[in-house]
Amino acid sequence: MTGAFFEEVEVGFKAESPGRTITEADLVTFAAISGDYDCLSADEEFARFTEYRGRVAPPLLGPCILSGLASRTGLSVKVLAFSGGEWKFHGDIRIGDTLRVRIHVLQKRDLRGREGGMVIERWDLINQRDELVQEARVSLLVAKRTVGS
Amino acid sequence: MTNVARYWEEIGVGEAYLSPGRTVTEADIVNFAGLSGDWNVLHTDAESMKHSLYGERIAHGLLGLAIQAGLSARAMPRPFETLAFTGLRWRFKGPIRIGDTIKVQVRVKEKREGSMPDRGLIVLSRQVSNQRGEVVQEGEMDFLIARRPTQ
Repeated sequence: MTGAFFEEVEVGFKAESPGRTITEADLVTFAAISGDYDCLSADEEFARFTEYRGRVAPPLLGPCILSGLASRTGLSVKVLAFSGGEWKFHGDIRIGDTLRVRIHVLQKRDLRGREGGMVIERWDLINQRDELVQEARVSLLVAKRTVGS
Repeated sequence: MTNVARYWEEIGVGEAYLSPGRTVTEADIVNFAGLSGDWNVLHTDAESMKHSLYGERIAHGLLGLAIQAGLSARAMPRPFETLAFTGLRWRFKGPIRIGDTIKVQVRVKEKREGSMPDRGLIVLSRQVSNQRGEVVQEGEMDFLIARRPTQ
């Protein structure tokens, strides 16, 4: 496993990923994997007569793209488990949008005697207009260098 | 689809649905790694994972979240007149392994009027369990649903 151990993670650290342009193929692939063919994302003829005026990505594609971008920020940690999080979906993701993620390490919690400690991070998903599209507060169980410390 | 979808008024707190099962395969994990770009060894390196606390590769937590979305759509007899999916609170409680069969239970937890007259808020609770009945993921999702248009 590459990346920083729990002991090395610094509260307050900030990092930003490169961008990724969301394509029609991403929407189609997400539908294929999830099995969710919601008409707003999969049916252009339906979607263009809604207030969105065209297909938008399913909001859950955001966390999916974000998780990959997060691994390209330079803030790489040895994750043992993804424990959970809270997401707020503020805006649409459209075909052609270029997304990037800003990470901010908010908090660390040592779990004594456990093989990992909890790291709380804020993940902001930003588009090419610098709009905050989604924001998340996530909890990651990160491996300790010394087990039982 | 629009002719069968249900407006906010037609949705009742306490309604519950159980989805069919779906067996999570190695292909699902490989596809999800490709789509997300998350190639963490937890999901993609069988050799390293033999020596980990899991003993094998496990599915991305977010793959479970994606699959439950598709299962939920299959669980509900009639879709909602959804305008937006606005928020999510989610816990990944246990690993999903290759070969596990998961299903989702969906329940309407809460209904609230919104600030705009044409839409209301619905909170769904969703629980993902495996073939042994263990809850592997659970949480709540917020949706804005259209209200029946007044003529």
